[in-house]
Amino acid sequence: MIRLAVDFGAKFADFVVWDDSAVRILKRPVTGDMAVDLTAGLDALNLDAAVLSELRVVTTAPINALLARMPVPVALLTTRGFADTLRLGRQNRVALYDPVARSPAPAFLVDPQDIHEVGGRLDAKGTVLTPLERADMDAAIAALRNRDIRSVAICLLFSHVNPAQELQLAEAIRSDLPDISISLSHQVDAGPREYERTVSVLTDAWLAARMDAPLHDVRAALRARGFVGELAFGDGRGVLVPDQAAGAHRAILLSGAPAAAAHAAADLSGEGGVIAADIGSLSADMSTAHAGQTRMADSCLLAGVPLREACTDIESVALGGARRVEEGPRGLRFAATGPLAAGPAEAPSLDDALAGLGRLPDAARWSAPFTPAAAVAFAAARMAYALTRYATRRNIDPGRVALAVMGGTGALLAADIAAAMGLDRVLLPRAPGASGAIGLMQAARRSEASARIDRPLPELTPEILGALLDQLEAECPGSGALVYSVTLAAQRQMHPMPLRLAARPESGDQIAQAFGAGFHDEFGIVPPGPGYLFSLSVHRDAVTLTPPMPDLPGIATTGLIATEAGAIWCPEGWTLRRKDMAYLLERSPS
Amino acid sequence: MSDPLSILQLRLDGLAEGMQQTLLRVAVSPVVREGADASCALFTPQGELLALAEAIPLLLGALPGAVGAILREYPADQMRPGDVFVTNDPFSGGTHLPDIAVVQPVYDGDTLIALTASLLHHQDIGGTRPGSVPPDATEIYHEGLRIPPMCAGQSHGFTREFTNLIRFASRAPEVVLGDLETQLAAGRSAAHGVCRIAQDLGTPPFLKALEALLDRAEKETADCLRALPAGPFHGMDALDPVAELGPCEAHVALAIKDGRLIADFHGSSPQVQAPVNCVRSGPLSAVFYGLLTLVGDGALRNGGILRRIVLDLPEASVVNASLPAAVNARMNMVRCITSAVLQALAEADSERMPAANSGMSYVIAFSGKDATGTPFLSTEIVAGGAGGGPHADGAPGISTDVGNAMNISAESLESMVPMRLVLAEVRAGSGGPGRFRGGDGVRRVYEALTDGIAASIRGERFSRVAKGARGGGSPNGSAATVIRADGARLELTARSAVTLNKGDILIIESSGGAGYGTPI
Repeated sequence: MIRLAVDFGAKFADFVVWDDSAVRILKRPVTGDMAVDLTAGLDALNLDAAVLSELRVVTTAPINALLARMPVPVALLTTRGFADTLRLGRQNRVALYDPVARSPAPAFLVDPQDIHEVGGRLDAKGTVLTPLERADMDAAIAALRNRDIRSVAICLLFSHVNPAQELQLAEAIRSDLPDISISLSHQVDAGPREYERTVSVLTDAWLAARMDAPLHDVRAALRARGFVGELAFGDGRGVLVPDQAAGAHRAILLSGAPAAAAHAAADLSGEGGVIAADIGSLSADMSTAHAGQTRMADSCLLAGVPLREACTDIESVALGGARRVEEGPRGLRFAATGPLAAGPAEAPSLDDALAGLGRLPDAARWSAPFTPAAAVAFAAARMAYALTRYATRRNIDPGRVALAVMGGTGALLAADIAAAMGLDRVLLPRAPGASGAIGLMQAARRSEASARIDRPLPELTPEILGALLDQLEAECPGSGALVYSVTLAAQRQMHPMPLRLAARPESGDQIAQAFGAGFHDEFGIVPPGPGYLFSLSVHRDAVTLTPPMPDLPGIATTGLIATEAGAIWCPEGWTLRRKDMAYLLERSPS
Repeated sequence: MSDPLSILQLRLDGLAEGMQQTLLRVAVSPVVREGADASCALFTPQGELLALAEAIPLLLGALPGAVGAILREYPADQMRPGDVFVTNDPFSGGTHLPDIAVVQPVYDGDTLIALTASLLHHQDIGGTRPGSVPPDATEIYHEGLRIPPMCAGQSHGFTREFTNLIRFASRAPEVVLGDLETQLAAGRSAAHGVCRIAQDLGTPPFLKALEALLDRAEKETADCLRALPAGPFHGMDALDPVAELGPCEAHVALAIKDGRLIADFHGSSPQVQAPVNCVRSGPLSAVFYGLLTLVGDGALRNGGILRRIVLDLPEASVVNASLPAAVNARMNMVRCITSAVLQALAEADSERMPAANSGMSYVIAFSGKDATGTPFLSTEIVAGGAGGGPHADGAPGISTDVGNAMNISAESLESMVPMRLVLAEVRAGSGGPGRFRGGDGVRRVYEALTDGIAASIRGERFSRVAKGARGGGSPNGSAATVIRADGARLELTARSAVTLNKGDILIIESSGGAGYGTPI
């Protein structure tokens, strides 16, 4: 069985093709057209798509488009009186000590003139107070048509409790505008609080407008080449979801690429913990893992968009090989940049500095008033600071866990970063220059099903629970152990908490006991309420075997050491050796 | 940037932030859960601020005062492992009575190495009105239970006597006690982290490093201040005039001398018989906040900065009230003081400062009993607009300067109380005109779904609005109106208590921010 994993980045695409015995890795510049880049990669690998049993894909294209704030023809339909929900956000601001108050709300997701209110109102229990009116729906549909909207998000108050009005509105739109993509808030993010749900559903609609066509082209190109295998996407949790599931829940794909790299780092944690940095051209993504499991979060901030998604707990900093370095009043700094710009052309980039030190080919003439070594030391110190901040904000002592560094630029900086953190060892995954694609190769295929419960735990009888679980299990075919998860809170109004259960729960009492223990572990107290169950989920993961990693010719000392993808810089006084399925860069005993 | 002291500060900051996240995720009090009205910090055994969570800056000055008061009553050498100290007394360093500070000593072996401290706005601590923020209070005795700096627990738990005190004083004792337990747990967790760091470094080097951290922040602050002109720079702002009260003005003169920021508040109004007075923690928060906007992102944020602040406060004034002043609605006075401080700083550092923000936020509470007789209560904070400039229009409906409270969603509000939020919108055109317009305020319209809902409204900027900067204009003021079910209209004042019955409509409008620069 031949499988292919592709990580489409901003500048390069990494292809990893493997069977049970061997891996081939290819790195190619991208054109920005995924279908073209995919077929070019297949040709370069001399690979017949018809023989592929599976194609796994992650792409940074949507998150880069979000970062660039690209305008997209999206509309939002919302409850009358709440057109400004997105603009007002939660009223808080970023950067507390900046005298200029700036909102974190991603108002750029929709043009204000494409926000339309409709009548119809539910109460907090989902009871219909005012029905939707045909005239409102017709006016909204006319506006969508007039503005040539391709994708519409619908978020009505209390639709997470009763979705009937959202469904009714969607049906009306679909019958008049059958080609428009419709995202419904209760399906995308079935949690309370209208601002958060609005952001979730708008992001989904934004991604539909932006990504559905390119992905359609990819599918068409694959079909044309006789591909009959399975297409799967790496998602923000670091697992693979089938094509059809990804299409129904797009936001989860936004952080698929960094989550795949985080998965590769998690494999290095062994029985202990690891903090990792994946440093590419424009950004460095940080993650952490313990005993092989990446740390997850129930919300994330991606390209400035706050999302309520179960996802790998990733934080990004603007640090990468293409970033330019300049002198500021307090020493070196990365040049101020736009969302995707790398900085003024006259300043040297970090790649220029690495080339100046012989770690990359083609050194340009160096004219900056500081040395390449100073620029590299600055970048390493900046990364060390960011990693320490990332770890300590998660109550992780960076001195007590392993450090892993990857990415094309990361592999050239790993020892510098370790030294800046006062560490003598740093791990690098196999093929550190293609860590996202490697993580994708190692990722598990997930089948999953979930049900909204929305009731106090004490009301959940064993009979109701059993019937629900039977149904969810039936929706998760395949191999791998079944895993049971719940999302619940001490009381209905409180913030929900995801919880993985040790086994299939037999009763609400069992869930309550697990919740009590989990809550105590997390917060140190018993839950201030009997428990309110928002949702119940079942999944199973299937892992495919990955082929062995080639060995190093021996212990390597000093210089650039090539790997399957990307070279590792081993400075004087350090040695590089293979450790299990990874590389260990270690300071030599003095 | 990655030197050992910076890393140590990050580790301590991370612990304080962990405490804060615990409170925000677990607290039952809605104003904490939804409005983030809580603050956490670590202190040295001497009571100097070590690390501060990213919380509402309004509370920046609250914990240093409370910890200082506890240490005066219970010197460090008399504390024991497991002790729990509390206070909510505004006149002993606190803010207002719902904010209870919980302080716990941290020991490595027998050595006291730090203090953890948290402050949380509790749902009800007694007094004349549910929620303990009575708008008609004229002295602190109307506002609820006043807890002096006291030892309230041993062995990391509260004593029966203290819990009984809360049970007898609060209308919502289980909620208050639950949230107090959360404060304890947050402190315990941070204490483990502090001990781990101390054990890594060794206790004596750890304590020495703490001193070095403070010294470095102090030096950085002094250097930053020395780069500014000496001043004095003046600022003044005031609450809306109320005939029977007299003026409520905050005056400040900021001077920079020997790397110190000297804030002289003389000239501010005498305290008044209304709950708008604030105590010392208010001007401390305002000046601390102002200084943090100056020192920039990379600076260490700890008590070293506080060492460079000198407050000169008139006694028994609206900026430094004495017993028996009422203080529960002190937030808008702190906003006034902050506005005055920022005006003065704008003179010193004009390039970075926008025009004045709305200078207000509403605190709105709904309480009563539902059809089954079950009590309900919600508290929310509604912001105004940001000031325009210096390079863009001001943001609408956003928490500014010492505020950073979040709003309450319709879906949360309506799940808690029998009120319907029928509209929440940007109040278009309410920001001040200017080359860069002031941010607009907010309009929220509520409908009462049952009889007898007590609405407590504390706002500001109904008549006296922020002034524009560099030729910019003033915004529209705030307003609050009740339209009764029979159509009768009732215009409310800035601090009102009103009973709403089924079908009554309450309209809240917050002020915009001021404009910046002459309109083009």
